[in-house]
Amino acid sequence: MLDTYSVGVGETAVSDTVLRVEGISKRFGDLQAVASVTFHINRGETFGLLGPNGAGKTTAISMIAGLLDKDEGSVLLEGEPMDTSSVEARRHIGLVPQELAVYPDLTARENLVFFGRLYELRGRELKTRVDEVLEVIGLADRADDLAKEYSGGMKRRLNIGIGLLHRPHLLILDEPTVGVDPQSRNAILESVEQLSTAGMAVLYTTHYMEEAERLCDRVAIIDEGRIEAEGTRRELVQLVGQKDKVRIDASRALEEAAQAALTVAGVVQATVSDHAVDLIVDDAGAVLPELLAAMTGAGASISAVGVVEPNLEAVFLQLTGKALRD
Amino acid sequence: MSNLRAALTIAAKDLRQRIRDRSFIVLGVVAPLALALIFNLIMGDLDVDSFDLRYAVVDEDGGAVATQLVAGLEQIEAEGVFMLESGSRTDIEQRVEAGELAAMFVIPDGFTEAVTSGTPATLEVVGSVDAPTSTAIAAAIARGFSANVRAVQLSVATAMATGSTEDPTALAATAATAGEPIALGEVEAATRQLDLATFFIVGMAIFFLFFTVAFGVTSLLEERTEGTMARLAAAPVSRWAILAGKAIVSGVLGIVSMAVLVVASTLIMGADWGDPVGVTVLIVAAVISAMGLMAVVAAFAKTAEQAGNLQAIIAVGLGMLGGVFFPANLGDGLFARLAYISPHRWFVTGLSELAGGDTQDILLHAAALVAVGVVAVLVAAPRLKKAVVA
Repeated sequence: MLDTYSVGVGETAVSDTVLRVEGISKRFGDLQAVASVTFHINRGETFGLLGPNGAGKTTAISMIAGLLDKDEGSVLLEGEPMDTSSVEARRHIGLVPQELAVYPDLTARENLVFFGRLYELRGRELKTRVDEVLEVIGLADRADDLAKEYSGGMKRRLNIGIGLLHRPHLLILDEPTVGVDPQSRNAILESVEQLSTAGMAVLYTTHYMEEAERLCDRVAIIDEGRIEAEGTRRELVQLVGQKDKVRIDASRALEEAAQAALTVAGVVQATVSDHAVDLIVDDAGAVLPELLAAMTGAGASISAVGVVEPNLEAVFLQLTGKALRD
Repeated sequence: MSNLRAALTIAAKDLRQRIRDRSFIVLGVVAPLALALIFNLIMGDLDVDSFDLRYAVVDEDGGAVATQLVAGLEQIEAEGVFMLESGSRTDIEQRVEAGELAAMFVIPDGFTEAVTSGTPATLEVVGSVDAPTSTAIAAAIARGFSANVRAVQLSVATAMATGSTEDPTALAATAATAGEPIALGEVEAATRQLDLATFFIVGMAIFFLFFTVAFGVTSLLEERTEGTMARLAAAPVSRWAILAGKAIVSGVLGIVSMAVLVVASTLIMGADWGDPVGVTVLIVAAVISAMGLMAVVAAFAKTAEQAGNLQAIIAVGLGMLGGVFFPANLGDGLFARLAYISPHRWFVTGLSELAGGDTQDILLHAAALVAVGVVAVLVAAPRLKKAVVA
């Protein structure tokens, strides 16, 4: 695959690919924690690593962030090689570890100022940026309280805020919503959506299927250290042949409507039940307009349409033979 | 970001945390000062300055030799070594029993005649059961006088045996006033050892220094277990800068705690640490030594618990070997030889040397302390970088 180049400010050639991971592997004794993992992330894209606990997500992230030596393979971050001895390349990464990596004896502001200094933010720029991040993570009014006095959700938000502080090109979020209450979880997911919209590349690991489906432009399904499949949600679903389920509530001429539906390309099955027709189709989005026209033409009076798309959990089950939360 | 700047940023953060959680103040200042005060209160009675050296002499003889003995005791009193009183035997005995006097010398009737005739003479020392050490000192004085009497008796006997016609009493007086044939040079022990109050605070200071300096190690391992090390290691700073930041914290805490202890113990306990330049040299050298040994802990411990155990083993083991609790480093036995590897030993003896000498006398001690630190760092270095892992 060729990178796309554009000319940015100062006539600097900038690749759309922020992170390129090529065949990285890591073995701990007899355990092959990560095996030949390959993927890339473009600017403004959220890429998900979806897999159960122990699948190798954190090990892969540790190698990408330069925390762990690779047995083989390479990581290029903004075109620069990344390993444990790289210092400058780390400037482009914002890491949000799975653990709450904040100092409990420091306030939120002190935590942010400390890490900001490590990323060479100084003076007015540092102060302004700290204030901005405090607003983004919703801790502006508690900025001068010690982190140990925060709720779990507030600590999580601070954990993410530290990763955002220096405006990294790549934000790595390792299971950021583990142990978070629903309200904080939603706030975190909204923040990630905004970051992606703002052009930041995001690498998001999770074992929550719903989060991957909501946030990620592309998803890699990882299990036992290997990427089993990669693509958009639809590509993954199609990869394993999953069909959409459609229920159309209607009155009158239900049998005729079902027969008419079967004449539409992409409709696999049509079954009549009480006041509804249940259908199995290849792609609900693609067939629905023609399907509704055919059923209406057959004399049915349609009152409601419901679509149940196959999810990544089903994909994961089919690819690995086990449930995602195992 | 330069490594130095990164190290200073990390050190400043750590120092803020340490001051905020007060553990440094407790371990670095309060604990050593409190323990030294307690030891001083418990053991203070052993201090020579606090002995009750109040003696009395009862002369029931009144002869020439007895008079000379009393004069000798009065001369020692004049030098300020002890206080001497005299009186009747009954009165003095009652005062000794009452504990008002530590001991009494009794020169019995016929003492002079016995001495001059060469027959055994008895000089009694009666001491208070409540003042065994003071009584032992009185007995030692009496034995010294007895040795002199024996020498005089030998001189008189020798003169008579070789045909002298002089009066034996006159001969005895002449022999008694003769000068010492060999003059022994004496170095006062007090000029080469620390007084008790200073010894206790010095011992506690070097003992707790190892725990204070260990804060750098503890913080390194805490960062690892609490997950913040991943974040530090992912930042654009080298791993050596992270280690240097922790080392700066250890050094600053060590020197600050020692400086506070020097000032506080001087003001509160009247400790006399000695020449400030020499004390500073020894403190800096001791901190380097402790930092080196704690670097070994950082290199080999995998958890904060392991580090705590190793720190305790090193601090207590080397402390005992170095004689901060009891003088195990005296003599020439195995432990005395092993004590040379203990920074505690070099620090305490260095300050003892400083008490009776000058800064030049402690250069060997300072060098030994630095050497221990350097060797320890060389042992730890190959594994230290791996200590900075997520």
